[in-house]
Amino acid sequence: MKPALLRTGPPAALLDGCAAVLAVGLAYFIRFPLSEMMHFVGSAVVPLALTVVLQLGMGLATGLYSRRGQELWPVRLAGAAIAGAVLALLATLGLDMREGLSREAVVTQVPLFGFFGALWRFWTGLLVRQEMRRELRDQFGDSELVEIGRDMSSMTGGVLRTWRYRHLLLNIVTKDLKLKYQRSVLGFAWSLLNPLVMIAVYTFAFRYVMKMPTERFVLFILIGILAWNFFVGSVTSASEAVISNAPLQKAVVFPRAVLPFSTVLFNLALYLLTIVVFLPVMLLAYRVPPASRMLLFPFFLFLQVVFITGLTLLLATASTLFRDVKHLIEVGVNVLFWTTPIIYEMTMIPARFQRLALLSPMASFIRAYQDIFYYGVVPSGTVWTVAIVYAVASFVCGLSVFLAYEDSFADHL
Amino acid sequence: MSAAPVLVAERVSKRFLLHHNRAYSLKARLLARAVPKLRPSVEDFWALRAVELRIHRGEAVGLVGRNGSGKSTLLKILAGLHRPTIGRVLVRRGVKIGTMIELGVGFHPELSGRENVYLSASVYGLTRADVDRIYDAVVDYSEIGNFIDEPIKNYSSGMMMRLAFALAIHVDAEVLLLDEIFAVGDEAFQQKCRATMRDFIDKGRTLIFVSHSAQQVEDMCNRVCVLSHGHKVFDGAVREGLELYHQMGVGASKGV
Repeated sequence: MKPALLRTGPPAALLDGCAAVLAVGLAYFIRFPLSEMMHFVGSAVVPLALTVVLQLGMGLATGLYSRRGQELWPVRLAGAAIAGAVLALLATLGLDMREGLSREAVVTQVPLFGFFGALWRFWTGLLVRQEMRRELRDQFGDSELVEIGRDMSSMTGGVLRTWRYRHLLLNIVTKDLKLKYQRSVLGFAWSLLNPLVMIAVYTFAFRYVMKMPTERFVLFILIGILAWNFFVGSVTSASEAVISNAPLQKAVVFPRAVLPFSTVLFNLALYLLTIVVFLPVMLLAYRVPPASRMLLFPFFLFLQVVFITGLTLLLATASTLFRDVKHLIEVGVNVLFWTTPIIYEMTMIPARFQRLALLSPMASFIRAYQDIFYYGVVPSGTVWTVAIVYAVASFVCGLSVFLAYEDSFADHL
Repeated sequence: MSAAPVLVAERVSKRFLLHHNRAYSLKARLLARAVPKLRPSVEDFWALRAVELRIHRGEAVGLVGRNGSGKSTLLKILAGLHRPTIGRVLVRRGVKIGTMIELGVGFHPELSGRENVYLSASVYGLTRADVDRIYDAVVDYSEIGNFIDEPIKNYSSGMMMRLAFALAIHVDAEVLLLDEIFAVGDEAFQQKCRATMRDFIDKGRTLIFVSHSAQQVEDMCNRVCVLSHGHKVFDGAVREGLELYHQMGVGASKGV
């Protein structure tokens, strides 16, 4: 039996409604400064109500469609994205009625709403899927006997199982680190060489050839590039995380989530090694005095790790099911490098796109590091919000998708 | 033998989809949606059909059948490596299931025997302290001696298999699932393996064992299940089971 991925009963509709309210709230939260959030509450009642109705309509439509037993994901995501975009238009009309409709408001809001609409629908779909599986299993209730894989695909169960295999996680990471540096003459120095060369080349091209006005350019791009390398390393090896261990997975039962987790930890270790060497040197060279705001660094690093872990889980799943996701990742990473303020400053972007630029996946984290070490300020509320929302959303989505498909990996390897 | 079973398969069926020109990539999937000619044709293949199996503590069950009869699939489903398409597998709460389906898959050639033991043991879910406790026993059993600190790539294949087997047997599972892995090491070591296995059963543990060798099944097992085309056609005493298996083989080869 193929479970219908979405139902149309009252609980599912309520879930959708809540999701819609949250999605719109989030989109506004990022689009407008905190002080205007009250403004939003006042003037957004009408678009919000419309949102709920529309999202419910979408839920109903996709629910009916699913009765026909079709594969639903593309329909659902596209539908939600379109609904979100329509809502964005309506919401913009409602909010900007007083000042007149502004083009940039539409430009920034439409993709935002589309994105969050799709995200939420995806997430609620997974929730329903899990719930249905649980129901299926609870039809048989034994006390003495437990079904194999019963705790699978529930979040807490998945996390617990992975935690029980923490020794495996550590062993894999130490093995990878050991193998990386074993029998190479320069050993650890190789890991320092790559960012050094990148920084040298970019400094030459942008500071001396293109005459970028940024002061202390080397310090500026160092912060961004190191954090970016961590991201790229994890995301590109995510596609191999599950596939490359195929023989092991055909022979031994263990929580598969250990594999993507270990690629993230491995790349984190490399990142920490480089940052421990470079950052103090640079701060000394540019005479940046130590300050209490630098204590925020571990916090944002933690958020970045959570964010990257979620993304890695998601991409590992996708590339196990579809072999060409690997190429998409390569292209995507290249695009994202230039849409993220790493070698240019956020303030160089046209004002109306600055907020949108902050939505580039790594932008909020890199901006936070730049605030802390380069600009010498505490990151703004928007940066905090985007970083936290990205970290939580990515982790929750990534983990639930991974757990939902974990047991079918064996059939795809 | 206790009345309550340790491991139960309830009408377990497994369908594999045989994809002709399968869309492994996203691009191919999307293309296939648009162009009917590219649509992959899918053929059902039922590797198992409604297999019922109740296994009790202390039993040594031999799964026999011709190639492609579904015995390895059944073993993998019992281990939890595959999810049954229909039906379910139940385990007694708290019972640990060990697998020896392929030996040495977790080994890395560049690492030493010692490091590999620790790494592979953690794949089976053992903690560092657990491995510390069994480590000496594993090395003794494998008869590897001083080579244990050499990288695995310098081992002979027999040595590697011996180490892997030694580790798997010391993981201390209550139910052990084996897939045709008794070709480990030389004659003497194989003797030792069989002795260990018998010892394992005598301790009241449970063994499920896929094999083509009637001799081994007769040696080790006290119950036999015969599979044919995904159906369980016999479940019971060893002698009769093997006889049936033998007849099936003869009948099939005559039919060709």
